[in-house]
Amino acid sequence: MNEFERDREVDTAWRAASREEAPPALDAAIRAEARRAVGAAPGGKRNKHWWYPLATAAAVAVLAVSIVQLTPREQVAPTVVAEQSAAPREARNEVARPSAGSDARLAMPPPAAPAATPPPPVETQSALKREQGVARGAIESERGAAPAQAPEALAKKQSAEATEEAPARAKLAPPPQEKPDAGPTATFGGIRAPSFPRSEPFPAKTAQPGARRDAYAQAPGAVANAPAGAGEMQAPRRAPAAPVVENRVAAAKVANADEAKAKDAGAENVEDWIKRIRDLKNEGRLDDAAKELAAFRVAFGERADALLPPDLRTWTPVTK
Amino acid sequence: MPAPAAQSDEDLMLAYAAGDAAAFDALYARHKGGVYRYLLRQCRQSSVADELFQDVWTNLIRARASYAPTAKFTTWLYRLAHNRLIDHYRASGHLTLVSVDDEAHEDVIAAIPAARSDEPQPRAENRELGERLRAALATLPPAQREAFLLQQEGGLSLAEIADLTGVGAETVKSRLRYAVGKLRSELADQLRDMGDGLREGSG
Repeated sequence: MNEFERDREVDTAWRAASREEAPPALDAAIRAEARRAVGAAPGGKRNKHWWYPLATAAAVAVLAVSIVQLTPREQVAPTVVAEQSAAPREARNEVARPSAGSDARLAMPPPAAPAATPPPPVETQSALKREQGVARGAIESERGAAPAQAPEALAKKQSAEATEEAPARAKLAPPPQEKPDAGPTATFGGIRAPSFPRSEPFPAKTAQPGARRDAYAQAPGAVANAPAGAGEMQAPRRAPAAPVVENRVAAAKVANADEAKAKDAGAENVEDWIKRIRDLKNEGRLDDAAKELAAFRVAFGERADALLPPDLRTWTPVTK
Repeated sequence: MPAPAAQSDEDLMLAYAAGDAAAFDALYARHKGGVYRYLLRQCRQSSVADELFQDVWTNLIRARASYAPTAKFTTWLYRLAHNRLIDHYRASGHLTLVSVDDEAHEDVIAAIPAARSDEPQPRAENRELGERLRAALATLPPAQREAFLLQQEGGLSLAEIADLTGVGAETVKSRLRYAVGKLRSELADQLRDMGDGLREGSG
């Protein structure tokens, strides 16, 4: 096909004379329509990966919620209680430290828990669950009562109560040679100054070195023959927060495996219970005090009289 | 990915069909003037030209997904403009003017109204030449005028013009020869001065 030979002069004249353009408003309208058609932003090209950070944040949120939902309450609640009761416990340690003399290490809670805890045997699973319930009840009772007490007054009161209850504890407590920490506890100036571990509920008790060693000594087929300082030697390997929870759970499992130990754990709650009964009585709420006393007697049966102080043992509530 | 200015029309159109709005901007900047002048010279009313111009680009936007680079982009674009112009003629009752044969109805062509005063004005130095050129173009039969405009504004070849307008290449060649000859005779004196200037500038 022959191409038409263009006229140079006509082309030049046409290009020089023909310069009309579409109005700018029309240009803008057409460009905007073009962008709308492809879903692009007016400022330029849209980032196709704008949703990546959003998806990442959503995934993290879902994972966090899932972990919280799947985590058993037993592993969450003791941590909270331990944080709440940390201040009174430290105050008690401040009180106990001078009487401890050179062996201050025993009065101070260790920074972390032991490295490993053996799983409980299969036959103790039911007892374990039952005793975890007891421990949770103790946590609840301490949550309501502990923070209001001043540290020094609390220590004095507990010392007085310990002196009063010495005969009863002598009957109930296991022989000292069964507990590796019983020696230092009993020999601080001839006074049972570290009686506070007994009056504390389960989580606070597990923070004490003696209690931890108790748990280890009674763990079946585990570190029963471990030296007394094993916990302190293994502690720096662990993070500070998570092992506390693990240690408490492990101690609960081990402690709950033994029925006698379970009774002892129930006895540790006695002081709080007695205190509550006495408070109700002093407040004039005799009905409530009577109910609590009756519940106490039902719970401890024949041991109730031995556990109750003389004023409550002989107190007969007069109901209106 | 090369810059939009370095890409061909076909690549830009494919990029726009894939969602790249910047490709459309580049494509629009290249061809908006030619398409607008093609429509303006054909319908000779800026308001109508604006409407047709927007319709052409809107049709292009809507048809982006069906675009296939089997032919030049400009051929496709000016086909859209041509079809829209035919629709306009059909709607306004001027369709017969499009089908007028080249030399047969010069009296009818002469009856086409001259350019209105609201048309965009060229630059001052080319104002007289522009006015005379538009007047001369207006005297051309629509088919010759369209062939001339497709060649000048769209840069289409004879074959592309023939394919777009649905006539043979020889017919297009004849139309172009007639249109250029008519324009030269109308602008003879001014083109002679321009040619002298061009020769002096090149020598």
